[in-house]
Amino acid sequence: MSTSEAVLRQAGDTFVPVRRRVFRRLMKDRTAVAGLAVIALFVLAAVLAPWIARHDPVQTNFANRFAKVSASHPLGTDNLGRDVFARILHGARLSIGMAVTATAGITIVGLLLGLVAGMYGRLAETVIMRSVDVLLALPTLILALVVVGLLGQGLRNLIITIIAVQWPRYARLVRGMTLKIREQDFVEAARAVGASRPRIMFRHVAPNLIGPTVVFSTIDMGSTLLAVSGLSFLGFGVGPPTPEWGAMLAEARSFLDKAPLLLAWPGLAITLMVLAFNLAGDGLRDLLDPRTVESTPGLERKGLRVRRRRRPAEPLPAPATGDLPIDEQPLDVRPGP
Amino acid sequence: MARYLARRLLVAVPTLLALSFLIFLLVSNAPGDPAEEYARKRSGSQEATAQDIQRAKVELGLDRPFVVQYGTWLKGMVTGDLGESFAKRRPVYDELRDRLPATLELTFASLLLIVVVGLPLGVLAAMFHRHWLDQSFRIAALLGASIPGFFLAYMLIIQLATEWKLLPVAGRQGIDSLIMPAIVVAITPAAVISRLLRASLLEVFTEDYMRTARSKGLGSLRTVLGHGLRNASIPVVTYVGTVLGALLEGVVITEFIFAWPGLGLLTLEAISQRDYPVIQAAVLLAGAIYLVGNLVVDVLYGVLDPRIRLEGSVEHV
Amino acid sequence: MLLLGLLAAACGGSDSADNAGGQTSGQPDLNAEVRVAANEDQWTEGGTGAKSYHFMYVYNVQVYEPLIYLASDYTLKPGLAERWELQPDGKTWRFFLRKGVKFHDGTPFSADDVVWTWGVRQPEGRTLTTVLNTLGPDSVKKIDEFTVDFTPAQTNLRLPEQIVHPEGAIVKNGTHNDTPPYAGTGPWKYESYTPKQTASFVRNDDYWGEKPQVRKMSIRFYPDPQTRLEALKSGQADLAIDLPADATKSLSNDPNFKVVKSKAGRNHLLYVNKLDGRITQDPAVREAVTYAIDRQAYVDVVLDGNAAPGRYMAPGSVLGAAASTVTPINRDLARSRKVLDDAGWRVGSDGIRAKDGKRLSLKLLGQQEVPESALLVIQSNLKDVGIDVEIKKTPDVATRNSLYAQGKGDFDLDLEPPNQNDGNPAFLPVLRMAARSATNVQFAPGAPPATPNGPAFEAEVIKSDTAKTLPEVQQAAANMMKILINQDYLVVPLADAFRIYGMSKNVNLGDPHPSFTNQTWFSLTMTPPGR
Repeated sequence: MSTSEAVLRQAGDTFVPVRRRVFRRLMKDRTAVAGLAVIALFVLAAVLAPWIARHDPVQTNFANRFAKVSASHPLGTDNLGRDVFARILHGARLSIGMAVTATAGITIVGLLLGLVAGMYGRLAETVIMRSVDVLLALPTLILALVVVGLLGQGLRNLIITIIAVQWPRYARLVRGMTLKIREQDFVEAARAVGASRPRIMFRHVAPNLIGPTVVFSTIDMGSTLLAVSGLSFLGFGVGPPTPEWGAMLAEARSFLDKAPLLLAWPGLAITLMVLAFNLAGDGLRDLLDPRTVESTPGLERKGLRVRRRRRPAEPLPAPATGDLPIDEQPLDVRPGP
Repeated sequence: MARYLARRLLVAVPTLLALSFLIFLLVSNAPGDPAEEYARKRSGSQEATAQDIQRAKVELGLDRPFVVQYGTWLKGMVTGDLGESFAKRRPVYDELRDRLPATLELTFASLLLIVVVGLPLGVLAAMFHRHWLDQSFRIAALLGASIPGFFLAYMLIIQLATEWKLLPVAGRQGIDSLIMPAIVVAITPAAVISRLLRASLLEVFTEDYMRTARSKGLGSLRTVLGHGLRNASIPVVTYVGTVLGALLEGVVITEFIFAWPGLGLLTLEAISQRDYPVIQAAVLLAGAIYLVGNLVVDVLYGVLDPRIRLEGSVEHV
Repeated sequence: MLLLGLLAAACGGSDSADNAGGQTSGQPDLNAEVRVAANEDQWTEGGTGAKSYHFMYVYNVQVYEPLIYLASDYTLKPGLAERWELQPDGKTWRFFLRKGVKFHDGTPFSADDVVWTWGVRQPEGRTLTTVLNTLGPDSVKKIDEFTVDFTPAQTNLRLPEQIVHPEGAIVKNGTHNDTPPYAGTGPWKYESYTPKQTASFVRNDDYWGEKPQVRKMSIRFYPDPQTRLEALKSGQADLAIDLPADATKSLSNDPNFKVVKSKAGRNHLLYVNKLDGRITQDPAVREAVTYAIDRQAYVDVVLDGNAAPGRYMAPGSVLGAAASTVTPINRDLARSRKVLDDAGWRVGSDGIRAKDGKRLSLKLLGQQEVPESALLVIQSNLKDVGIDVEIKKTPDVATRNSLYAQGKGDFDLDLEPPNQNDGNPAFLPVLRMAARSATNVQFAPGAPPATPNGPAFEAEVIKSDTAKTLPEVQQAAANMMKILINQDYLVVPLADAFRIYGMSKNVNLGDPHPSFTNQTWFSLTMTPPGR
């Protein structure tokens, strides 16, 4: 996921309409396709959950606890007799919903603020970027506790927490790219004919951010999912009896002897889903960066001996302190718990 | 250089100030009254009367207005007095100092793993670009970045500690006990770094001077290592800088599961107990390390790529 | 591969290749070192302020001893006091101290130490119970080298039962618990302590009483119960303290380990909030809740069978012969439903009852250490009779406490497992329900004490204060519980839980104490593993 930022930085140099070409070339990248397929699978499962799962995920059945895998219970039952398969499926609903919502929030907030900071400069930029600095240094756990404490537990507040923690990174990125785009000819031209700043911002700059945004969002969803699971694991997330993968994992800890698989299913689910996002996003990244081999058509497979690409070499752009790679697991690496 | 440093440090101060104020504001508004917690603990039956709570309030200085509390703390900060922990009634400084060695150990071990595993994998992936190995590495790296730490931790414990009895289950007891927590902490950054390095190297492959170097007949491997790495090091260094900050701040989940008494666990405990002085200090420490890490990284940029001019602002593009 | 490991563990049992089980050779090894996997180091959290209570709660290895010990059946055993008697004035308790006892550093023990500990010391705001608080510098007087008088400000006939609390362990005159070299009079001597990590204690060979039968206890703290268990199973610990209830089956099945349980002592209870405005003010609702709970299911599902179905408010053994006064309650769905029907609560289309437009939905709060499954079992049980339960889970103690706040709490049901750590049978009912108690669950602080639990209850409270003999106190306490549990349905016992220790086959621990703070380690032995 960090690669997204690293590469977005590079991708910011050239903004070519990539949609159709990207799609076709994306299909050639098998692992990325696999990632997309898995995502699609999960989404499908999530949407169809109420029909596929033959049991109510919160229905307890004390007479049938720790049941083994069977036709009726494809993944067995948990310590309260609830159908694990149903819980995983419904958990998918929750996870995807949360990931999408949170990422959308991060993207919107980050995009807006980053654009404003980049386009308007001066006071706006200072205020926004200073806030970004401060927020970036804030550990996730503290913020999570406070939001949960102030607003109460639950889905909505969890999402708010994640958005609050993650938007600064994205804003920083967007600002960096905005600054670069501003220098481009077509923007100069627009300014020359007297277009207003908001107009430039939305009509000229923003569309060129779509590519990097897509990459970022895709990979960020994986990161968001991990963050949410981690918070739930620690007890800050959704409360019982809602099936959430991180919370399920936390509960399963107590039964490692009796039923280690109870730990495995949610763990695997999280891993697979995040992996899928990462694969898809990684594939997209490869495609959108004009500098890498994959994105340049017509290159032969020559291993180390790569053909020269079209563009003359440019000095590496001075990296901004802000263009720091986003972590996969904000909870275990940065910032916070 | 000196001016740049000075300016950066100067800007860091208000940032830290803002951070500490924000934290103070947030935490003091979270539900749960430290005075009440303190009073409860004082009474053997875990219950507290209104008088107990009032007494505790005064003792902890919580009866004074918010701004006064913050001001007092700030004054103490400037003079080097970090205050006293509410929960433990001992100097915050001592608390931090007690936990630091464990955190440093884990940080160092993790960094070692990240570099030793992540870098070679990145180089290899780049070298075998388009080969099936590259794809395998890619999947492995992405897998490593996808697995949740708390899941991996239990799997490692069950397998390595309980089944094979190779390592201690938990607790800080010598080098053996460092291995599993370090793996859990290091796996994601190692994966990410390998991808970063690979991407950067591949980018550099298409540079003019790379081709020139190769045409001089240095051999492909040395070409990569000699020229590619230097340029590719920038994003890698950046990333390591970030990770370092995070590691030093502590990795709570890992520390909890492995009973590793570091700063992360301290922060979690302090939050649970609404121990304001400790929370403030821990957050400030984390923030300071983060900013210093940024600074070091930026300075290193200047060293690594002389084409970059260090400018006065905190960030530049 | 790790997954295969998980699967393997799932299919087979665990197989610990090491210490091949089999016979142990009988004789305790007096030179043994027992490695203990303990729960989170809480030496500063359990006590009354940090500095003065070092070691008190660190597994109560009795570096410092109380005057009177609380046995595991809640009877009193002489400690540093050989005997005690109430003086003719009806207020003063005279303690006759043991002679010839020495602190670990050789200093002889005498009355001065007791006066210091209980009268003078004033560790920051020590408060054992509101009653005991009345002991001040003048209340504790030295009569002679080995006799001390305690005169509380108000008559307290339960003083000896309360003095067993480890906070009152005797320290040397002029020192505190955390004064190096931590010389107490107890059976164990301090050896080392690294906060949050390890602690170790060695046998006091000059102990006045029954000496420990192992040479050393090495304790390592594992906050996560699972890793604690793993430490035991992997052979890195010989004894694991307070295992999660669910972990016991696998250990019991493994011949290399055994599980030892205490008597019932940790009672999981539901306190019902009957303040104005809450649905639970309606006695019909409370009665319905009481009879809808399936205690056996709670025991099985939440505690893995490591409990008796809830019957009492405090450990049953503390009530002695009077225990039979409190009658057990069996699940009676028919009765529960009828009571609600009769009170006008009609079942709605979603299966939940409603009356006058108000939905029968209760807010359930759970104390920190209660597992989630407990809350879910209750939710499920109550759903069976048409009561909806909204679970309020909190990430930490402080948040939960703030929700609980006396009198302002926004909850209807509160699930708590309180701890009885002294010998006073009336301790818990009085603490939580008596009008005079400042920590009554039902009051707003500062509100005039009414008698929400009725004059009958209060009469029993007074009886328990003034009763001269233990059986009378026990009866009063039992009567209180009967009112609360069987008549007013203000307290719903869920399970009377055991505490669980896991240990290697060659380790023995008799007599685990239901109350952790009163655990003693005299019966800990280790035999050499057999070949």
